Amino acid sequence: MKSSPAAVAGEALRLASGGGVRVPAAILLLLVAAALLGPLLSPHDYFTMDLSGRLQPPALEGARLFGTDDLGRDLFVRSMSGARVTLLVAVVASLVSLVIGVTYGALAGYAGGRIDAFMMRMVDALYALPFMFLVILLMVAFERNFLLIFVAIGAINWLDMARIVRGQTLALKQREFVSAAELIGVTPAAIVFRHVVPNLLGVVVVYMTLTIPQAILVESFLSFLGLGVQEPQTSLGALVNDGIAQMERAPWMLLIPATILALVLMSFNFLGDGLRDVLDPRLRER
Amino acid sequence: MSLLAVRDLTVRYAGAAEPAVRKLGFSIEAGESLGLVGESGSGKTQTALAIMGLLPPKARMNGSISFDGFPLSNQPQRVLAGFRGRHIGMVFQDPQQALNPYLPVGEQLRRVLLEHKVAPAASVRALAMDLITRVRLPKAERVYRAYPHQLSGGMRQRAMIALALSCSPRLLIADEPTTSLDVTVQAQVLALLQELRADSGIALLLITHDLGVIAENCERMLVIHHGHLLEQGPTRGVFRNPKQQETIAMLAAAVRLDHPPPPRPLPSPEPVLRVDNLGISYSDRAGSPDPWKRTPARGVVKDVSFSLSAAETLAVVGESGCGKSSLAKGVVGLVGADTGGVYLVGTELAARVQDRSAGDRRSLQMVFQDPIASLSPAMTIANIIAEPLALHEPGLTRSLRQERVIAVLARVGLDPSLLQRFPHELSGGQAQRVAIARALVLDPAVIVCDEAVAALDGTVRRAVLQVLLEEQERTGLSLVFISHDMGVVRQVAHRVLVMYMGRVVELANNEQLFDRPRHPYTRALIDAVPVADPERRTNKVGTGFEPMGDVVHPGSAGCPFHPRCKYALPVCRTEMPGLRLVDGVEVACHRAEELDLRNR
Repeated sequence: MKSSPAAVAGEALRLASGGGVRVPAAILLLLVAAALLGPLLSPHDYFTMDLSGRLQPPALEGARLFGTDDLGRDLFVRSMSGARVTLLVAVVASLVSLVIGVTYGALAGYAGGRIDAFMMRMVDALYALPFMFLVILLMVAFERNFLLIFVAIGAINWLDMARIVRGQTLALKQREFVSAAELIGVTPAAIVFRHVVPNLLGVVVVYMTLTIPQAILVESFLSFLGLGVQEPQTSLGALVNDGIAQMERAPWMLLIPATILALVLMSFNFLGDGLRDVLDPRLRER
Repeated sequence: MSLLAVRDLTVRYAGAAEPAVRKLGFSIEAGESLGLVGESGSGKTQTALAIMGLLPPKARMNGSISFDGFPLSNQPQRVLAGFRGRHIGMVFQDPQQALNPYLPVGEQLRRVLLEHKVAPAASVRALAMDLITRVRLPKAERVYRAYPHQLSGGMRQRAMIALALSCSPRLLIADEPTTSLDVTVQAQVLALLQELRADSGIALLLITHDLGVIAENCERMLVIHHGHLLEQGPTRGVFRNPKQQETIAMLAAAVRLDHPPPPRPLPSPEPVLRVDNLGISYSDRAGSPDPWKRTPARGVVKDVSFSLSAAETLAVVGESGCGKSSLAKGVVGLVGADTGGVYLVGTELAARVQDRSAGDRRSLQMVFQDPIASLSPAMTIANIIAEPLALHEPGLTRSLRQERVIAVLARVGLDPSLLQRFPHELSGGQAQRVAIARALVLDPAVIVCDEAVAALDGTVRRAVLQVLLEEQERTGLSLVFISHDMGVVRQVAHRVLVMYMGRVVELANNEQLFDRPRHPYTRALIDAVPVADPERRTNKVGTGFEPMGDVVHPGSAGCPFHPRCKYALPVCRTEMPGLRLVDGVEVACHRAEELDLRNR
């Protein structure tokens, strides 16, 4: 059964010749490459302070492409390593929410009846918790680290994903192909993962490209509160936060990371739209 | 001058290789009824849309259309909008979609009347009520206030006709007006159209794929094929000596209930499947007035028993809502039965498919109505057909499995080049063959076909039926064939089970049932089917047979059919007839012995 999500996504990318996917995908790939390679190519690093060269505007001279910040650190390298962190947090958090949300939602929807009602009331109960507060508590109670940010953001996002997937599953399980699978004796778990989930992919991918920006924003917010990434490490959100403080004296400190953040967010949104069209098998030939 | 004249009409869609309609020319005289017949995709609907000026923007139209001398082609939409409804009315195939679900029927009529300024606002209501009465809708006052979903399919279609007639147009275009309706309801709606024509002299363009409908309702007919006009002429003339090969083939393929069915190999006496007193009821939370309680159980299948031999085809017929699909689901175990049991070669099966053994599941397969929906959209054809094999014969190597898949694909007449396609890339006929292949790959003893060919048209339908019948001949497969189409049943069934409101009312051989039905309901079902012979028009208005949904059904007392039965006696109102044997036919009617319901 070669209908694994990876195979479908691979095929979708191959078939995506319309350009709706290509442009945002190209921008994202470029950003990822720059984030990975940029810091290696620059003579500077992200943590060395140079108090004599504070708040330098962008210049080719001295390889200060994006200038320096208020502590004289190289903004190009900081932006790129910040983008690494941001992208990593976003993708990992979204994957966490994808795996938990899709599994939970599909199982609840397919099981139906009391099990479904119980599982969804659990989701409702979790919704009622003030999550940002919970995340802050987590951050305070445990040592602040990357892993915790992933877990915290994923734990927020999977609830929405579960609800959406459950609704779609309820609709899909009425379809005759599910009955046909029951008749040939496919086990319930196999029906969920082989027949229901692959047909949810379109919705899931679109929703995921919406959760990625959401995760990025949550991470930025946590960093803004000082609970996210810790200095001297940085993320795009933290850089924007620093930039706001220096907005009048050094506008590039705000503009550059903000532009990169906006590019990332918009690329994910457009990628989602494009992928939805490509992944819907009925739209595939057009 | 003709009422409607169409000259050299060509409709082409942007990006399509072939035009949908090419160089079509015909005319309709005032008061005439013209039939337009062709298979789906032949351009019938495109022609109707072109006349109404409702073609989508992607379509390019050439040629001229004029109504009573007034040119309709190349008019701006503003002019056409005033024309539509006012002079030409249209009835669509699916009244559920053509009526606005948010407005009561009366309000929809009122708005059309006001829009076209047919009458002063004060008298619009009276006019709307009059229209409702004219289309023979009972309880006009109630219908006026009813929302479309509160009406039955036949009533909705009559409401749609009332809307189309609201401005007294001179031409009514009906595009497959009865295709989504039961035969009994179809007969009523067609009779209504005829009466309206007689009363008001309106001309009718009746678009259909059903030659029987044309034969019974149209004076003249056009046959179109791939957008070409094949022939036109008086209905009798075309039926008597068709000139084109395609027309001859279409006429030859039209099923005649009054002709003997093609010879079929006889089933072996060895019993395979037995269903004993099966009862199925549904109850649910949705629709219950109390959200904490389920609605009381509603019996949809009551006390149904039958048996099936090897290589036998048992057809189950009845109007929609009679419980035939629930019976099919109960037999295969998709729905758990409340009472009774299903026995496969003598051993009782668990009620639900999940609890049945792998062997039992394997022997009992099903083919569904909607071929595309019954195939998982994200799987390739190869994977869809291989899945049952992988489950039931896990020992097979990949290449052996592949061989079996290709072999079964050949049995259903499909090319292995389709293996890597996805279901949406197939035509309806191909998809249904794939669904049959998925069932056949397990070598089942019985396949339950739930309206398996209802969604397919003419030639494709015959080809798919042929696949099933050939398999039956070769492997001794037994078929339970659920259908509302008496023509298909006549062609394939050895025995026929007639259901009415969840109960068996008659169970007989194909020959006995069609030559001498024993139950008045069976007679009514047969009579309602249009005969594809203009020489033998039957008058259906006088059958006194009210379609389901229009009659109030009694509670438990009495024969469930008595409110619709013209032979009903007082005893029919008070006592439920049991199923008994009369001349080798199982029938549930108090008057089975005395009534002679033979073909006239």
